Amino acid sequence: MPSADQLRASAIIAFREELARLEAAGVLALDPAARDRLRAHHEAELAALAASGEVDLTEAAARLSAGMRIATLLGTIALSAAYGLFVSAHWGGLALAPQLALVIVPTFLLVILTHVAAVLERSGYVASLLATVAAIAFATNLGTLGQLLNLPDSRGALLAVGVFAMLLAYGYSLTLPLLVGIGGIGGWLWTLGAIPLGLWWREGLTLIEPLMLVGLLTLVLPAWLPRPAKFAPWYRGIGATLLILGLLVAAGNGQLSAIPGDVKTIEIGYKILGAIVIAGLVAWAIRRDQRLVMQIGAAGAVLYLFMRLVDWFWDWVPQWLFFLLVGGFALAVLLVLRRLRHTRVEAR
Amino acid sequence: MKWALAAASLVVVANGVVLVSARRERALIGAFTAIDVCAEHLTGGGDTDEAPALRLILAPDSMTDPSGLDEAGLRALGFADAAISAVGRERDSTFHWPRPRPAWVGLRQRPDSLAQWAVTEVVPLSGRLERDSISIVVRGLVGFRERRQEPPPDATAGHQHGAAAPAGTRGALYPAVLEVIPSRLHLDRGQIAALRSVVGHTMECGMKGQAVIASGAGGGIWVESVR
Repeated sequence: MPSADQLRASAIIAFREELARLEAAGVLALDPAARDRLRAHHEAELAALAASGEVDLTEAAARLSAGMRIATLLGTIALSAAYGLFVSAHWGGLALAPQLALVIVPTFLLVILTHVAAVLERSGYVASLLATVAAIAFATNLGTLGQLLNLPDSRGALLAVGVFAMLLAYGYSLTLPLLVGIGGIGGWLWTLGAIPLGLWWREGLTLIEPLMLVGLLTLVLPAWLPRPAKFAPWYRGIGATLLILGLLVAAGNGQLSAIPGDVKTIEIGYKILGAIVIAGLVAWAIRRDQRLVMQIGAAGAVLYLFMRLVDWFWDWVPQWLFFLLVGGFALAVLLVLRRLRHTRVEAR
Repeated sequence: MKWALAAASLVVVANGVVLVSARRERALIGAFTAIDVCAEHLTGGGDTDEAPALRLILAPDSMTDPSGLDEAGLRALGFADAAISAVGRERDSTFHWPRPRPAWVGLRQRPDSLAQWAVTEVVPLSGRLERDSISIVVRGLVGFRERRQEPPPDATAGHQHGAAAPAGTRGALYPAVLEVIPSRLHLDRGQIAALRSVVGHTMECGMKGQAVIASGAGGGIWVESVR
């Protein structure tokens, strides 16, 4: 997802290209003084954006950035696996003190390295990789400590790792640790649903309502935590996905609901709620110009419609007719979206 | 730098909380339980990638008859009436597998099959089970299983909401301990080496060593010594 800085830089570059086209076509002719002022202003803007280290000013740079993101992800997975395998390979042969050192010290080292990398390498890719591995090392630390002391597994580890990842994500403006943080804190919140029902914490992960609440909370969080701006699309995207996923699953399997009562009634309730919430989410995203949420909402709506079509028609009509109906619905959705887009273009 | 310090502080606090509470737990020992250990109990250590541990293997449900899984006990654990009334009956389309409930589970080593632990008693986590020199108490998850009529039940199957009988056959529903937490007790390198030297490296229960399991007053459990 492009950052606010990247969007600004892209807008400046697009403006320059369009201006050049208009001047070449003779539609517009800026006087030299105005052109120089504009160029100087844009150069200064682009230089400031480039200094942030996250902005691609050319197509080639954008391609390289995509490669760096993939390398960051692969590096994170590889380093985490290397650490986990190193711990398990040497664990059994060590006394207690070295065992503790083996799981605690790497987390500290990685935190220090994250700080150093964030200072020395402004793009943040290396820092992002190190911070994420630090979060995974911390999770390994707590997990192995629990194993060492025969402790029952606990949701507290999810919270600790989530907060740890968030501290590094917000401290150094890193996206990958943010995702770990959302996973950790979101997972912890999700399991809280087990408490009022008297279930073991892990069973909370089979309850669908807490998942939807976590999705809703994540969706609206950027309103309270607007900075850094580049985090907002991730929050909204993950929030919308969780909310829709929860609604789709609950409509198909009422047993996952924490609400006591007849399973069929619960499923019908979630089918109705799903239609309202998904439509509302898409409408909200269109009004607020939230492109990603709109795409996720549209995908959810198509999936929701497909599931309802299966519910209503699969057992009643021949298969060829069923898929004809699905095709017809897809066309209808296309027409509705086309009309909506047309309305918005006209409004502009 | 303040964010890095905050993250490092969190690591210190989290590890500190775990270590200090474990230390307190081990200072208040509730009971010692001597058990026989054979090779089937042992896992990991040595050249393996797995941490050395002593496994708590549950005996098949048909060989145990724990108290606390009757109607009143199940109600105390929080199971709904619909689930309780289904005990002993065949599962029908209206039955929904209830979610497992946490409980304290009393375990005693079976004299005839020392690798296995029989469940002796189950009480809700709000209650208390007395620790003694012949049984240990751990947390566990209680749920439902389905007992096949023919052949006899296989307790090794299923650790989720319940173990269903194979397709086409339906059996009676019964409550059971699905899982104990922790399911294995950590052994340090000295303990695993000592036990391996006594019981050998096979997976059979021919030779046996001994271990003393300590239970803390707050529910903690660990291997105190081996010989």
